[in-house]
Amino acid sequence: MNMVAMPEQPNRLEGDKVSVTVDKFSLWRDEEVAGVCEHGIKAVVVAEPVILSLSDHAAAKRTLGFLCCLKSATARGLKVEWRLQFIKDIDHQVLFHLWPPNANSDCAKITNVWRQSYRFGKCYWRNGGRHIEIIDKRLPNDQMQHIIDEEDMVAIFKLGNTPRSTEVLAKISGDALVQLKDANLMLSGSGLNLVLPYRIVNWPVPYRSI
Amino acid sequence: MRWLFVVMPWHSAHYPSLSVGILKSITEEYDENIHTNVLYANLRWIDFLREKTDGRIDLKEYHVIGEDLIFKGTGEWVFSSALHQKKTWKPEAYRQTPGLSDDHFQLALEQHHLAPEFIREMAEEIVAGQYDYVGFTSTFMQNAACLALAGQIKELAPQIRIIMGGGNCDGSQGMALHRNFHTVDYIVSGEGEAAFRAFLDYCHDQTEIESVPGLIWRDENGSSHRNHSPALSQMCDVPTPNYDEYFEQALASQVADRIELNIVVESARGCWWGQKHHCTFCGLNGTGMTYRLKDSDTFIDELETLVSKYQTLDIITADNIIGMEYFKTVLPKLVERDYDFRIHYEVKANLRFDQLAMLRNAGVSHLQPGIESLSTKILKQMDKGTTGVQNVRVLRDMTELGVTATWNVLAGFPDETKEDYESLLRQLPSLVHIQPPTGIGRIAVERFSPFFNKPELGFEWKRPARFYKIAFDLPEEELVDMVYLFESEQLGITEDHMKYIQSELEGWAEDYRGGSLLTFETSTKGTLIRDKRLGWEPRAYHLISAEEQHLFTALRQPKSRKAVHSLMQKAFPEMKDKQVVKLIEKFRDLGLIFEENDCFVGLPTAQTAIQIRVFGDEEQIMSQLAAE
Repeated sequence: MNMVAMPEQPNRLEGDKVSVTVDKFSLWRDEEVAGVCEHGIKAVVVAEPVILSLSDHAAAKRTLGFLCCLKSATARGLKVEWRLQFIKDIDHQVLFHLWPPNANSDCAKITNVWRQSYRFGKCYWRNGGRHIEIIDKRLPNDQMQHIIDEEDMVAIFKLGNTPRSTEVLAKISGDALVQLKDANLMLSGSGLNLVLPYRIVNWPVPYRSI
Repeated sequence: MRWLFVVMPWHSAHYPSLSVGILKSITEEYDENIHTNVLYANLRWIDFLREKTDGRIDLKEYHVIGEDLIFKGTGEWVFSSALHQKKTWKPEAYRQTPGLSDDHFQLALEQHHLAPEFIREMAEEIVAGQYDYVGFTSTFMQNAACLALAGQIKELAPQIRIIMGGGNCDGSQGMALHRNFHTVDYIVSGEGEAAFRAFLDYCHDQTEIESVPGLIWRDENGSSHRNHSPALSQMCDVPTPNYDEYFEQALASQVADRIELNIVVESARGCWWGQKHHCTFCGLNGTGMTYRLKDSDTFIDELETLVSKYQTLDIITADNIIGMEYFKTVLPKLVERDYDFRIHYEVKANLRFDQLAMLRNAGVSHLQPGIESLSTKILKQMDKGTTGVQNVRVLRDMTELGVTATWNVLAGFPDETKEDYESLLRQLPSLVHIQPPTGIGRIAVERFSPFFNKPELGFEWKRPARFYKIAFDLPEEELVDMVYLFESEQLGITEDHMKYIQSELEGWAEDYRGGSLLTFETSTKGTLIRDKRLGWEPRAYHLISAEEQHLFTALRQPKSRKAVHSLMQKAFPEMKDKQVVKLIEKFRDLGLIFEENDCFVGLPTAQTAIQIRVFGDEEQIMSQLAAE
């Protein structure tokens, strides 16, 4: 097996945990999350409380960076221990497929519902070559399956897996970008965008349970 | 010319019929002017049941009869009322089926009463379609449903020609069906590709009926004739199946939101292991045991064509066993192509860890590894070519890799005793972090299996399973030729002991689902074991001594006692036999090894973040959330 390098400077805690600052965590790419997993790490502790906000470009950049890494960790079964300080300009329900914040977070009500609602496999996508399949179970009793097969939308979806500017995505197709936002598959604010579903990496056991 | 292929209950709702998909493609290739339709009457039956029972009988109940109750013959009895054109057919006799619960009988009885109306509706619809030929495919419990519909069609429109094929027509079964059911004009016995192409020639006056290989037909006097058997199909002659109607009809079904759409592909026919050592209980390959593997590029092209056409990434391979060449050809290419497949494959249980990892990386998330037992003695009676510890090793590795394993314990073998299960039962608490079996079941004697063909193996007498006699009402000598499942003397362990084992296996499953884990990680400090198995005291500890480390590493692969002693003394020349024994005992007491037939294998799985198990009741969690 080819081992992926560990990202620099995660602070190894006892056993199978590492600690990392929110800024560093938000910069990890999927390859680095994979590296953490392959080194037997089971949990990442985010050192500071996290603010989720899209109110200005800097906040949106930090928030979408954090959520992007949270997506990778969730997909790989890597637990993230993080505290939510507050959430602004985001419908929190669209995030309920990602690792929830710790119970001792400041936003008790949202945290509580998020923690109760979270299950692996609530909103993910699969690469089918010329098409993308998305399963979305974030809303109770309303499972959705989306198939994206229009070339422009597939391109935007794949690009949007990491934070991208509206300018870049709208150049491909403004309509497709709007459609993805309307379906709550793209989180957008202050000129930045991020696809919300994570790509499935490993199927759970039992394999048809999601 | 108008053709209709019909897929009857109890074909699964979750995937299309491979054989009908292939026949549809052959027809289209032969002459595009032939009008060909496929009717998934199994899906229509589910909708019909929902409507007639206000949703009490639904998709789930359909599969209870179609899958869980195959060996009770419930599917055949359900349609026996329609077959005999009666409101009901021998319910009291069927109710006496050994092991059939009252709930299952009531579920079957309700459907049994509805079957005649359904068959009438289907027949009227088919006749209105003005078809010239109606083809059925029949495997396992589909005979009664197919024959009932064939009978009704003939009654309404005798000019329609009925043709039937499938596993239930293989060997002597085809001729017996043809002799006893005059509503079926033609039967194809054996693999269908060459036979069907030749039959189309016959339909177009291009050949004589005697030239159609594998065809059973009737002369002017009503006598059945069987043509020469077809040569086994080569995989290059098998076209890519056409599943258009399945996807249309499944998506139009009332239960569309719960049907798990799959594509069925076929990379091989026959069984390479069975060619050398035919598993004594297995009759699955009928007359086509010779292993034939599809060219790797053709298989990948076919897979990509179907995925792109039907936009479905869930794949079921129909193969009985994966071709080992595919580890060098197909699987590396699938890894490269980066699809997010969810593939099901049947494999032999001796795959190495790296082979299992490659399967997983290629998108194979579900394997049926043919485990069947954890007793070497019983596995020998099956001629399985594996041992108890090898089977535990493959289950451990699949658990570690996060690949779902489906397996069950087969019992009722000729020389089997209660003692053969003692080792397993004693060590069950150590195994609860590893994927459990679905249960234990007594083997049936299957046509084409060594147990069927060689009475000297232990099953000295046999007769058709009781439910066939009830459902078809034919003389035993006809059923002997016609059916797939047989009953014989009850050998091996008693029913009571089987029930006891079943309850113990349920305990294993419960502890597994409860989140049992036994993991290890290796660092400079040594090997750290974390034990979170239910029933064990939660603890984490290091294997401290070099001897412990060495034994632990060695037992990642199964070893005999002799080999363990030898390798330990080679590594630690001072070590005495007694000390090795003591070390093995220590590992045993800690539940770190499984021991069987004087061989051992380690049980902990490597600690990785990629094992994801899903627990709990999703519906319950969702309703709690909604209530808030």
